Amino acid sequence: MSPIRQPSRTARAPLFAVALGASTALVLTFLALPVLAIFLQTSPSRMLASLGEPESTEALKLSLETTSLAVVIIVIVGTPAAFLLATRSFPGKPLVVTLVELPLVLPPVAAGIGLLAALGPHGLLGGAVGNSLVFQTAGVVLALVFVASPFYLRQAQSAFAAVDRSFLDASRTLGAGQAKTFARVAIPMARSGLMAGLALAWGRALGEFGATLMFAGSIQGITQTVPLAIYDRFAVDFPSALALSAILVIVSASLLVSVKLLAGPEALSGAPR
Amino acid sequence: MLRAELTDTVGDLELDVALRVPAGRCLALTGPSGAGKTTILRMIAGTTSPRRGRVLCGEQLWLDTERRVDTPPEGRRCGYVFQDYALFPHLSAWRNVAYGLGEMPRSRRRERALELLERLGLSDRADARPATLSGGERQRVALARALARRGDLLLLDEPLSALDARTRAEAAQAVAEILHDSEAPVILVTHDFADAALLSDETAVVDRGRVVQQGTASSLAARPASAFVANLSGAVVLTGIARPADNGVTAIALDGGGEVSAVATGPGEGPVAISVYPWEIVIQPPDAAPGGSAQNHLPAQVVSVTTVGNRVRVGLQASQPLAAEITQPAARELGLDLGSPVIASWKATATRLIAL
Repeated sequence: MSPIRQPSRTARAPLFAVALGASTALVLTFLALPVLAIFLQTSPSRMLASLGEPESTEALKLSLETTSLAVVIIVIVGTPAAFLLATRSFPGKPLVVTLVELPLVLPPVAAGIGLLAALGPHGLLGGAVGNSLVFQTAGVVLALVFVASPFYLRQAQSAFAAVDRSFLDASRTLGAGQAKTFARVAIPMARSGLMAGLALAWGRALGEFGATLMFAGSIQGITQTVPLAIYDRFAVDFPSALALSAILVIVSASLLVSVKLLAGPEALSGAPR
Repeated sequence: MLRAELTDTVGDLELDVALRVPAGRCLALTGPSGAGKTTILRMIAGTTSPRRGRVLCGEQLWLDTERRVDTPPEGRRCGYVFQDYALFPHLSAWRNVAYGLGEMPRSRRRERALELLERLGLSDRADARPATLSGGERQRVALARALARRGDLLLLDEPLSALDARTRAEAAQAVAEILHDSEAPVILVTHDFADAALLSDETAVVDRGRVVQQGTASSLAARPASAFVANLSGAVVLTGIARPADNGVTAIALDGGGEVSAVATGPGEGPVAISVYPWEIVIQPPDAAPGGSAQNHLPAQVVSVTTVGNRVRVGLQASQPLAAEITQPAARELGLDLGSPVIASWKATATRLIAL
């Protein structure tokens, strides 16, 4: 009996599929390698020791405080603004949307200089607020809001735009005013997109370096957040910088994952709705 | 009584309509998609404002662009069933219904929502989210939600179009019952003339933003003012009294005389409306021997002959008006003149049935 010849699927895997797989593997390796290296070069005991140093704990505490506050401000002010941008059309809207996205492409150092030029002691509005911001914790929060808000606004805008108009109309015809419709229909329906935006903005704020350094400086306990503390050490104590970096990676990653878990499975997959 | 006069330009559409719907009556707006039917509902509900217009519902002036009156939608007491229902996906069925009960004390809302759901036979699905409901169940939740508002007006946008054929008959019955009980004026939008015919008291044919003909569905089918209306009015509606006959057949004694039968699931007894598509109706000379598989034969007179594309729509007057659609060669062969007597025949299986 002659063996039955079956066409093999695996033997003739299309070249394109191979190319897709290879490029994905390359991207993953490249992106994961530096993060992996941080953990390979440091050790849990080194990280624990770092957490014992007051400079580290102070920086960590300051980072958590300033980023939380910045995210709260971004969400409170940004959510209604994103809703307006998503649901209304008005002349010049593309310009406004571009303006909102501008901080995304602005180099953080330039953003810091810009903030100084606007709100520094010798800036446009400096006389009024300059001394309460520069070299102050409030200045850190301001820099974080500036740099991180577009990440939230963009996501929130597309999340609101994905809510079909008929749901908002239905709410209105059922007797709910605009504010109630926003709170009871638009926000719950856009929830997973909003949470994904919040996670992105928070992550961006935690890693913020350039604008904070330029605008608020790097004063331990007042404006020195974790990224600034890492930079402060890396010339003099590389192992300590490594340990603090590892801690920051863990904090950022767990924030991202927990916010996404709260938002539900859709946000975890990262696909815009 | 609802009166609405609306004028606007929406994209390519030049909208210009004037509608009047008495309390307790149902006006159907029918026509092709893009004719402006949904836009009319939106403007009446207030979710869109026309450039010029006036909407008067009972004694309340909802819109008058000349006097700068434009009540927001939440201020117009108007139940609205949206196309595809627009049920809030994050709320359970009863919470969807209770959403419209904002004026009621919070403690009584659940009870009232459950009452409404029960009326539509859905009390056991009250805690289900819309995503887990079937199409027919969703439609009934949407109806219950629109009724919760206890409006001075009821607007239904394609309440049956999202349903499969099997669910449709049941859902049509649910809508028919609500229309029957409604003391408010009702406007029903549908692209299906048969639905308009079965559910409404009057039908307005809308084309490119204008009402091209308005009347009872059967009068539109029997005397279409244009080929467009003839083409659209794809159903004949007759009313009568049903009684069960042998072999699962329902016999219907037509109002005005004559009897026909239907093989249809639906009400077996009492006042009913039946609908037949004109292309299911065969026309024969009066002296022809009744034969073939058709069971229903009505003597009738030709009252109109309209050419619709390659077909001919023949308006007939039997005990009630009806219409048949035949090919041009068949029309030539029959030599149809106005007033000539014919026999209209169709099969019992081609008869749709709904309780009145």
